[in-house]
Amino acid sequence: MRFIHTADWQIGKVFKQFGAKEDSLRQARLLAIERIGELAKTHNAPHVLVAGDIYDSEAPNVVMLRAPIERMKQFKDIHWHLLPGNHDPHRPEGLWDRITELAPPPNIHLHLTSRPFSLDDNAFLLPSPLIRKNEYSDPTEWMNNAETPPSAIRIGLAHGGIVNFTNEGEAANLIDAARPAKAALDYLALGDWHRTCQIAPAVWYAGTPEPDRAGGQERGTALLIEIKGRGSPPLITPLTTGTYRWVTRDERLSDGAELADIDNRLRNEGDLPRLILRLRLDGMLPLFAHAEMQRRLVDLEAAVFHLEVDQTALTVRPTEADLESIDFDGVLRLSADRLKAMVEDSSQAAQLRKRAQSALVELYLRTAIQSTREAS
Amino acid sequence: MLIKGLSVEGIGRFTKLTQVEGFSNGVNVLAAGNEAGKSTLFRAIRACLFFRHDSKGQEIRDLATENSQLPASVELSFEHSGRNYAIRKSFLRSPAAVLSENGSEIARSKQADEALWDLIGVGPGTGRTVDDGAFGVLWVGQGSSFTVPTPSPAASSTLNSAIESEVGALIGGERARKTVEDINAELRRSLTDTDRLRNDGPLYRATSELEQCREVEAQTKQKLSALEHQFIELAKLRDNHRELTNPTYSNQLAGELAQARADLEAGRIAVQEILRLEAEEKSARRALDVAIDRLRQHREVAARIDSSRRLGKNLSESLPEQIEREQHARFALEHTQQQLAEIELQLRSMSTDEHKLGKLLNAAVRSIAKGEHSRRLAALESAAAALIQLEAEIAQIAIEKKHVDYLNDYERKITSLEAQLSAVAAQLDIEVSPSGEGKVTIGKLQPKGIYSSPIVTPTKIQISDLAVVSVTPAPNAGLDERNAIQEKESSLLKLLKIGSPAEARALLSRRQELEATRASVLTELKTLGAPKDPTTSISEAKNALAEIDATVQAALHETGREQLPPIKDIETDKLALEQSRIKLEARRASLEQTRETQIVALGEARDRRTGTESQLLLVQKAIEDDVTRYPDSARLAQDALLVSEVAVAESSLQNAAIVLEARRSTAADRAEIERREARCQRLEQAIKNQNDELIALEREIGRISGQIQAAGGDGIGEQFNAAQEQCLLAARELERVSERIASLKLLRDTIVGCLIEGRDRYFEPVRRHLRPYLNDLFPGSELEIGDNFTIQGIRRDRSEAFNRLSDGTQEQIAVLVRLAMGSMLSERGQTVPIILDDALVYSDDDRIRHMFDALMRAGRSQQVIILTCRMRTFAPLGGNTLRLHTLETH
Repeated sequence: MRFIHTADWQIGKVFKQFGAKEDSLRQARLLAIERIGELAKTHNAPHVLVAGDIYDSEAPNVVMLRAPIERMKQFKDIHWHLLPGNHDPHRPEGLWDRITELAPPPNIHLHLTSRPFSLDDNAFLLPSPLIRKNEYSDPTEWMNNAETPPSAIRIGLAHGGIVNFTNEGEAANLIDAARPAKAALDYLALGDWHRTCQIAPAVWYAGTPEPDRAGGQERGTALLIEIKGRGSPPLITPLTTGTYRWVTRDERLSDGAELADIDNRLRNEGDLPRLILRLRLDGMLPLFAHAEMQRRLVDLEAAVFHLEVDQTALTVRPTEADLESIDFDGVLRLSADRLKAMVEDSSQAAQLRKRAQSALVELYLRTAIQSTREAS
Repeated sequence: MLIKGLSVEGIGRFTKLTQVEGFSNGVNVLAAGNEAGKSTLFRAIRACLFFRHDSKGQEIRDLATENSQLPASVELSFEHSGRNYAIRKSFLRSPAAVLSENGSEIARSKQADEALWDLIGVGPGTGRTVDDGAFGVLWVGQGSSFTVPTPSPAASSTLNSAIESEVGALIGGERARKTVEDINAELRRSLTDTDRLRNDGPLYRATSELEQCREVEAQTKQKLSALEHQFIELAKLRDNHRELTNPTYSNQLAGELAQARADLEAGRIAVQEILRLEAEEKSARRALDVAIDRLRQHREVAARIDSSRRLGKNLSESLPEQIEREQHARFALEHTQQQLAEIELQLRSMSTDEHKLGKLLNAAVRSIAKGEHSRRLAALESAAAALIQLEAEIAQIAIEKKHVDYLNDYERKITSLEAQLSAVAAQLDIEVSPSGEGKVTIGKLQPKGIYSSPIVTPTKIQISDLAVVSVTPAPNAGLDERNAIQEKESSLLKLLKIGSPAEARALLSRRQELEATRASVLTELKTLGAPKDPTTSISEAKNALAEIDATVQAALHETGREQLPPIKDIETDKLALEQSRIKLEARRASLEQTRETQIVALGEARDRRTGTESQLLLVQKAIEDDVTRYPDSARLAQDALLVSEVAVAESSLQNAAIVLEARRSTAADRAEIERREARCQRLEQAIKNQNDELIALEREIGRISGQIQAAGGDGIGEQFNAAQEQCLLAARELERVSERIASLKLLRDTIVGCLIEGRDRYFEPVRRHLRPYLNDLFPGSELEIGDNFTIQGIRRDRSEAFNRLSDGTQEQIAVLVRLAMGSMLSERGQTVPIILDDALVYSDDDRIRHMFDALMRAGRSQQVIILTCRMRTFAPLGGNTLRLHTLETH
């Protein structure tokens, strides 16, 4: 038995922080469906199991509702098994009823109730759809008593967390980690985490085929699963499906000498036009280096698809040369000294220190850089 | 520098050599009246020190005495660095300059100018003059004492040098100000000068954007909440729907209803049976009532027969007496009616006689008016004849007043025109001698003696057969007009068939007389009651006379008389006849009343008799009928039979009552039936309610489903996510812009703070020298000094802007600042005299005394020269008195 396990397509997700580039990211999520279809054909996998959250919202607009269906329609030989997740639970007159009214083709299967579904003569799918956003009983519990032929492969399909990571109050959509054993599953295909992750030998989160946030998986992924027969361990092969890479990098700065090196490393990430880079900077920089860093960041932003820089942990430490660049003496130098003292005064509120730092950088840019330009 | 002497010649009003005497250390006062030349002396000192001797600028030309042929000369002697110097300059004519030291000439001409500048520490400026350095600050010309000293570059430099030698330079001030200006320029894009949001600025836009985003987010959130609520509501409705459509519950309800209906039907059948038994019992009771009634009726008839027989006997016995009474009443009535007929005949005869007497009286009365009618007829006939005559005469005269008016008008115009023609015509004067009489002919006229006439028309004068003189006047338009009018006059006279206007006027007068007479005749006719045409009235008068005659004849004929008796006799006869008639009428009324009474009595007697007869007949008939039905012979047997029928009916009734009571005791009562009915209704209503609720529920499910579908179609989920992200972005942008502004403000405020501190430190020497002077006038105050020594305000108990102070206070502060600057320069070895020309003009008595104290304080360290026209006011100042001394010869 061979199939593709995927999840968390989150079709219709908005990316307003990307401005005019938003549509590219939305389209990339649809493109990932086509890639999965192609991969299924390539690897002779007749079934694609989508473990929930096909849609980002349970009320997408009419176009976005149809868009993934239209993509799947292109692959007539592939059976697409769609499971409602917490983003798109199955509720009366809700999203799934709207899709049903669209009369999807027979190769698109909507698993809206918890009952065994025969994938072929020797494999059964046990889907656990969510009918509300937060389900406080284990939606997979029914699998324990689900009847299938003794020699048939049992594949669970569910959406939720294996453990309660939040530890805050009563967690929702929790799935018993021992479910494969209790329900005699050969494989449990899970969705919810946007990170490809193995929980147990036969329990996997597929991750999202197109990443949508920083801090998650960098590349869009789906899993190719092969199960030889009842009781055989599954063979897992990750497949790349995403267009954009979401990369987070932490860099520490000390005197600015490392700027060129960091710049080179970031640029060597490759395929920059499809790189979404979150850069977290910390450490301390002299003013001249800070200006240099800003210049390099502008260049880098032009090179990548999107650059987000977090400088909250970065402080400036003006050197004597920095201050002399502002002035050797006099009013402006005195002002710079005072701002520097404010930045270094730990008794001051953090916001004021940060503001003083900005003011000092601003003074440097307005005086030292200007003087340098005038001199040149 | 200490000025020790000044002499001028050819300067302003000082045409002759004039010396100012009395200069010394400390305060020097030159008090002189207006136009004494004080300001001229001030300008002369300035020219002598700072202008080149060969300068011909406007200031120099203004300084020189007007139309003077002499050079404008100034000589100033002064002490500087312990040495005595004298500079003498002649301007305009024969320009020259000589500088001497301790009486010896040390430079001349251009070298003298420049050597002097070197000596007193000023440098050449642009043009031909020099910058006057500290002198520009400490020397105050007339009218300049109100302004705060604004040092020229050289003066500033001097002051700055003095300050910096004490506290060092203020570095970077200009760059700092430029930086602050740049920052403010950026801040002004977002904020107004009063730190309010500037419309369309970045901060305003960011704030507005966030507000809009929050509004959209709230709206979409509300819609999403509504959608969530609809999902929950729909789930509840579907649960309700499942419960309502549960067949177990429906079947149970239907079973209960069937049982309730069966119970109700059984109850209703029992009720029907009881109703039937009740009807039977009622029927038995009715049969008993009938039997009792028949028995009672039988016994009543028997009693009635006996009673009728007694009544018939009584009626038969009273009938003959009643017949006799009726006959008597009829006879009395007939007698009364006969009497009434006779009286009626007498009254009709009297009425005929009264009518005839009336006619006779009428004829007598009318015959009296006959004479009056005859006289009126005669007057009418006479007036009618006169009227006919007058109208015939008036008709003969055709002329009217308008014709006479035309003719009069023509005559007046002709007369006027002829007068005009005569006035302009040639005058013909002929004197005919007695021998010539009859030999001279003018037209048909043969003049005698002297003849004069104007020539209006061509005239021929024949003198015997000796000559014919023709005189033709010049053509004249008036003549033609007169001829035209004469032509009109002739035509009108011809039309009227009269000869002249005079005849016309006479005829008109006659016509008017006739018309007046006609009017009086018409008035008379009106008096007689006749219209304009009296014929009808005459005819009516004749008819009236004939009618009177006919009336009289008719009356005489009817009464059979030959002639009319006197009216008095007729009236006496008529009165007697009326009295007789009244008496008869009274008698008739009395008889009529009697007759009415008799008629009533007759009617009553007849009614009584007929009533008795009728009653008797009825009684006899009733007896006959009753006896026919109940013969006297069968009366007892019938009574016994009816008594037995009553007994049978009583027995049937008792049986029916027993059966009814027995059924009632076993059947459901009314309350039980009502309970069963209520139960049926309740169960039927419950089933109906269930159906209604189901319909409503399905309708509500449909409605909410529609709303969910619509919200889904609108993509409300995406909209909300988008709105949330937009909100987050807008909040970040607002935070970024706000933080940027806060950062810029912090930078600006830091720079400005440093700038103020630096400036305060820089101006401290000035403030230190100023403090004692300020304390003289404004104890405890501090001046706020801005860039380039500008005075921005004064701090007393509060800060006050300099330009908000009174003129007097502004002037006093300005002078004090100059004194302080002088003091500061003096301390640095740059002793420059302070010269005040006509200052402190707005100071009150108290302030000016304090100003004198300040001036005296300044005089301790440097020379102070006061030029004033207010001799009495400045007398308390003290100091050295300067005097002007004019020399007769040079």
